Amino acid sequence: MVTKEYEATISDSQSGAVPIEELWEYGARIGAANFIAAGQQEAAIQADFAVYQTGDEKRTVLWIEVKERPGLAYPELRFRQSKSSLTGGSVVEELRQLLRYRIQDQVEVYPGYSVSSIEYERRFKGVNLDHFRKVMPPELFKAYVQTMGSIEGWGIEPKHLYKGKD
Amino acid sequence: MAIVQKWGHQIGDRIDSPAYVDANFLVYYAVGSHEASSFQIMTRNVMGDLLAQGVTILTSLVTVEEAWWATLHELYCRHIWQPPSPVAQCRFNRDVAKRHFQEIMQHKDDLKKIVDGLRELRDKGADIRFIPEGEKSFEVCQNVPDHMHKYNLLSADALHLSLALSEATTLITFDVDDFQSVLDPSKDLTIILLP
Repeated sequence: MVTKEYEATISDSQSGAVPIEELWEYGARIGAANFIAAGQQEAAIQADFAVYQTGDEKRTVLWIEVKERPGLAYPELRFRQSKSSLTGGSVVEELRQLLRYRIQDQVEVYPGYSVSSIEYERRFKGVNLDHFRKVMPPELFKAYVQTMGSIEGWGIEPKHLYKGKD
Repeated sequence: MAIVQKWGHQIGDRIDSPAYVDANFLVYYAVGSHEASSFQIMTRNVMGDLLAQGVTILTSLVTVEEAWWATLHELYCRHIWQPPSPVAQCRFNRDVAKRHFQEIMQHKDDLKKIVDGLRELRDKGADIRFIPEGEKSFEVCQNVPDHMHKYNLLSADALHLSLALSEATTLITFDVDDFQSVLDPSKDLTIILLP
């Protein structure tokens, strides 16, 4: 999930060796989220900052979190005000707190398959999983859960937040 | 024996097999938005009942193509950071898609998930099939102009109806406007309208 190639990409991005366009797929949506899923908080922070430094802040986990959870204590304004202090200070601390929360914030759909609470809302809200778990063969139920809402539509959630995905 | 409509679906309602599903059904099932819409929730519960009841699910290449287009629109909205809307959907055309094609197609794996999901379900025991097969294609196509004329349907909708009539007992669709007036005592089909 977290590869040396990716780590090298982060390093290259910080030195400006990798064009912004090529970083897109290595951004928060895949990169930092992978580290979150792996429980690697510090690496996730670095990955998010690598994206942040490209100027594409909308792709950072922090930005997405601010957009999706405006009630949380990570207001967009503070993020913007802190933009000048890229190497430390409140942004890092906020991100650290946020990622700590995200790593812990997992909902188990069935044993061995967990998603973040945001992803749970996006994919399973209003679906009577308890009922279908009882009336479907177990393997079919797993496929049902895994395929439902598997494409991110509007209101994106960083990818690969699954913990212990089959 | 007749074409009849059934409005809505409650969890546990019996669905007669086989059931033909339309493109919106595939899209609402597979695409997850930040705020799950009532359509998405209903579709996922209907899919649960289809699978739990062992209903044979029928689809077609034309359904998948329509689902791909709708998904492409979702990916475009994600790309331009604007929420999908009926207005945006109307404005999304071939030229717009082509202008942003390289960026959108970075997410081609999302398009694959439409069919991959069906295959995954089939591999785990669901009975899912593409229709028509072989010679039936001619019969299905030959009936389309008649359905267009008789039921006041455009070609794509008439093709879906023709496909459903060829092999299905149930047609599940979100296209309430076009299918609510399709009534025929001489044919046998239950149209589940998901409003």
